[in-house]
Amino acid sequence: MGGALRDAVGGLARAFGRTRILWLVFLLNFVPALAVGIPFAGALDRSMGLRRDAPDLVAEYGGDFDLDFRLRNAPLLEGLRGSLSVLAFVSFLLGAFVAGGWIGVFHEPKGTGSVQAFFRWGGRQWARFLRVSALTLVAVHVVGVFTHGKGWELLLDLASGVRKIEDLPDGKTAVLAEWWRGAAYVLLLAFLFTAADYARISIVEADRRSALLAWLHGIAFVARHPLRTGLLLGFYNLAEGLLLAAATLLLRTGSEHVRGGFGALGLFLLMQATILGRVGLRGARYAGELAVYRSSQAEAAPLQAPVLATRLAGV
Amino acid sequence: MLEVSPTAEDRPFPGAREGHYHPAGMTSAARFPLLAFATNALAAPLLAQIPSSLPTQSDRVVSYRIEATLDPKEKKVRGRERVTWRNNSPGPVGDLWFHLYLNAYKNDRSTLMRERGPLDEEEEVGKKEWGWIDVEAVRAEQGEDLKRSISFQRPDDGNPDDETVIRVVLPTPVPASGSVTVDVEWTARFPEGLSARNQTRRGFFLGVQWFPKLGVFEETRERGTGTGRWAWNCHQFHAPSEFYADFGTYDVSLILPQDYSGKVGATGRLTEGPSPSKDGKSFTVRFQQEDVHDFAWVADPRALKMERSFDPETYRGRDGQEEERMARVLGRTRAEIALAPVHVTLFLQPEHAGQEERHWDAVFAAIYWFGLWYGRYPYAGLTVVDPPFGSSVGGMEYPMLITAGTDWRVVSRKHDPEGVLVHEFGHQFWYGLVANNEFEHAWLDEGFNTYSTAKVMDRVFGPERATVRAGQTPIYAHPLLRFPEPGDGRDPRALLTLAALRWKAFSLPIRNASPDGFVTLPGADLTLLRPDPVLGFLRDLPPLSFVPRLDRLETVWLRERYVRDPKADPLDRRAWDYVDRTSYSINSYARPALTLLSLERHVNARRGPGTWDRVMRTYHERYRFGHPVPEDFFAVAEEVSGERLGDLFERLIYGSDVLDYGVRVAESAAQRRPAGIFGPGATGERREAEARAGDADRRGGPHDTKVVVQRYGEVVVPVVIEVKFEKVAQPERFDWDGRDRHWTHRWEGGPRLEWVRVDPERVWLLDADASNNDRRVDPDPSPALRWGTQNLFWVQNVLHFFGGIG
Repeated sequence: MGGALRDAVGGLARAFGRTRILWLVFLLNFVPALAVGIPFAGALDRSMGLRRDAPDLVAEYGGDFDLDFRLRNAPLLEGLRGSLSVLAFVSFLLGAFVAGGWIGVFHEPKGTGSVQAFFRWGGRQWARFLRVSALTLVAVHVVGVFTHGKGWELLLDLASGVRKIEDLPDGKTAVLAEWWRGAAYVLLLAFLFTAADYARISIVEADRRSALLAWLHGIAFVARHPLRTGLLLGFYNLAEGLLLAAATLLLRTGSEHVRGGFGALGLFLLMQATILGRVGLRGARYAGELAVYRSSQAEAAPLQAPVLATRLAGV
Repeated sequence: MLEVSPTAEDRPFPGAREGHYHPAGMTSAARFPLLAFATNALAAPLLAQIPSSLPTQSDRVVSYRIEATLDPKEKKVRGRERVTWRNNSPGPVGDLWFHLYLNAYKNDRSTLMRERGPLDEEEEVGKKEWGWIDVEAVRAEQGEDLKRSISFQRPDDGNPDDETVIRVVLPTPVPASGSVTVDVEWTARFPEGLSARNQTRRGFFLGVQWFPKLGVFEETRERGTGTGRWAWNCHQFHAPSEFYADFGTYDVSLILPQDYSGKVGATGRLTEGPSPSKDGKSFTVRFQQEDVHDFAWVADPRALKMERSFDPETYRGRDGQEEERMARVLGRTRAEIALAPVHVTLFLQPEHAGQEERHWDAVFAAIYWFGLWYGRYPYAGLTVVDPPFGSSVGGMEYPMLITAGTDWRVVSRKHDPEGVLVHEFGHQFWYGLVANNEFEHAWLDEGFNTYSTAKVMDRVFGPERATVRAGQTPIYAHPLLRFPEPGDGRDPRALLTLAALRWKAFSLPIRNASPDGFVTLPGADLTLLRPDPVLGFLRDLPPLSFVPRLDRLETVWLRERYVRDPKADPLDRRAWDYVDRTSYSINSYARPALTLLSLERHVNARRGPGTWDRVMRTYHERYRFGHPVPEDFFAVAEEVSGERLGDLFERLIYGSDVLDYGVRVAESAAQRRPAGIFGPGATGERREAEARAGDADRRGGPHDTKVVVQRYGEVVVPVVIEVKFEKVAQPERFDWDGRDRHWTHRWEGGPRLEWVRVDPERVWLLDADASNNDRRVDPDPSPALRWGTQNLFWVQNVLHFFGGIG
């Protein structure tokens, strides 16, 4: 417990200490988001800016307004939905790059992490990390078959003699079954995505070329150290949850009083600070996981000479 | 005052007629007394008082004496009924037509099953048991066997596979004002595993549309006008509609196994039993009721049976001011509009026991408000059924018995189950008491009831908060911008999920292609990310990202449903003739409700508050226990309100035009001094040198203002326009008859314009685009900044979420 907490706090210090990288990753989130955010804001301005009751609309995104706004801007919103999907895919691709950059920077000896190193590691590991992500998604798919497909039907049949959730005897049982299924699904996803993190770390630490072997290694690692990896993940999720809860509270209560441009700017800054916090927490998670990985490896076997330093020397 | 053309609107509705409680066979003039009265009323002052004329009983055209035995194991009911029918037509009648509703579930080729489309996935996967009803004997009063005279009738579509209507030829015609009695024996089987109202589910039986029921013998009408031809109105069972029957008396004895003791509810009063059989294995209950047009029952051994009485004197939600207002509006005393106690029996699923109070609150509120506005609920009892999980019963209405339903987990600001309870109870008034032909004019009951429900819900329960569902649980949330569903070909994210991958692209030797082109492997469903609630929630609302709360009144929900597709159909048509189920839903529920709400505001604004209450009350009282048609309502509306509404009804009810008024131009510029040549000839006074560019910047000086309000839609209604100038305390109001395509007004040299608003009181809720109803001169960017910023934040969180997957 103490070890996990130490790793977690250490991760925070390491990630938030890399301010330039932090800002860079933040921009990789912020700039694509503008592709949706600006047209959306423009549509809002066309619909709201000349409204007689504009000041009231600041406080409440009302039902009638929401409806007319959506109907009047239906083609635009449909386009933005598509853009958002494309950007989500781009973010997925960028995510592999960012993960490579973060882990690589943390992998390097203390003090050598730089934006250049971030780019170098991100580029170097991008393809491997994408393969890890693809494997993870295949595994997510398989998990889905067991939690939402035929596997679920068989399980339900074994447990209760019915194959459809609607055939369960009452609504409470059905909802509880749904919740258990949802919880199992989320836990399995957490397991898979955490394993993918350790697979990526093992790729960097051991310069593995096979994404499949690294992925299997990641699975095995998390399976061997469920408590330590789970605690670390829990810590960061809790921290992120608290951050978002606080931000949401502030935004909801504070934004109702926003009237002018300065108020809107204040809101904007608060929101961006929250995103920056989330970006940092994700970086911290990689740092913490790297620390957990290294200490576990050290417990298992004497630390080998850093592969990276020797390999990179020739780069 | 507004200008109203005296030509078109002087025409009253020709089909106005009285309800069935009046004697038949009257002359045309005598049978349409409203016509003359309505015409006179248009010019006469409003009625100061509506005479208290709440009918106390129906004309009781039919009577049923039924004995039926339930066999839960076989899921069958074996029954016999003695039906007596009185011929109210002016001539003899040689046949009887019966509905056999349960045959709609006999196979997948019946009219109902064809209309509702192929079996859904759940029905395909699960065990299916078809339902049917088989008439085994029909005998005349003298014992003559009439079974051989039975023939199936398909008056609506000629579908040879539909067996939901039969005709029985009588040995001797029934003379005018005469009666006939026949005995019918039948066996019915309840369907299971199909989306059916009248179904069984793990011992639960909902006995609705379960016995051979007579149609209505009446004069056929075109646009409300009698044609002189009399015929059976007995439509086949259709997916969206099923109700039309004569009022009468029911005397029903049910024999059920002992397991159901104390767990039976039905239309009517329990007059005998439960009386156990000699062997103790079964018991008999007898229900009797007059002045209803159907009989339904429920048997649910698992449900909790609760009983409570609605007492109008001690009801905690009582509103003395509203009672006073209604009495004043109707010109009656409070005693005259007083309500009566109602004994309510609630069958609640055990897992919903914690929601008992929510059920009572909703039902009592409905009894109170519907009774106060339209007239007291006339029956002594009401049964409320919460169907078991997994049944497809949903919310339905039958005389003195309604079904609703709820989830195990509910949230307080989501009006579930209140909304459905109020709505289904409301049908006791609009369908039960005012019993229009639901097959042909569904909007007369669904629309009127949706209108009334919205008023009760907004008044009693307030705005509802938007929710999304995850794991069958509602969660307060409202995404600003949802993702497209994966796999629809436009969503690259589907690549992440394998949902969009067509396995044929990999040339896999799989032959088991589903109809939509996707390929499924035996034992494995490859489209993983079809809308799984948990994943959908995570996807559209990444954990804890900002979600604006969104509270909406019922009227807003109605608008949302209507304006999405306002032109698909005219409002009034047979239920199965709408282009699709969505159009049926819009035109039977949301659109008529919005029309009534709009007319209410319009009429009250012109004729004074309370006028519309008198319209609705009069219509209800006049047609309580009757079968009105749309023209009957139109005539009452004109008669009571004194407004000429004919053209409006024509467009709103029989057309599919859209109503939309908006501010097109609102501009105000500092007045420039005249420039150019003024006076006769080219040597006139020259003034151009005096015009200076700086004039336009003088905000406080005189301004030239132009306002254009546009009629974007085809529906013409009178509207009010408000124009507000700076430093002028009150806005100027203009009445526009709305006929021209636009209303243009100019002011020269006045104060600067601040804003313009059309229809400031939101009279016309039917307005398809409310966002163009007002416009200010100076833009205010702060709301867009605020909400645009929050949307950007939401997008950032979404991208952050997907970045974490990569």
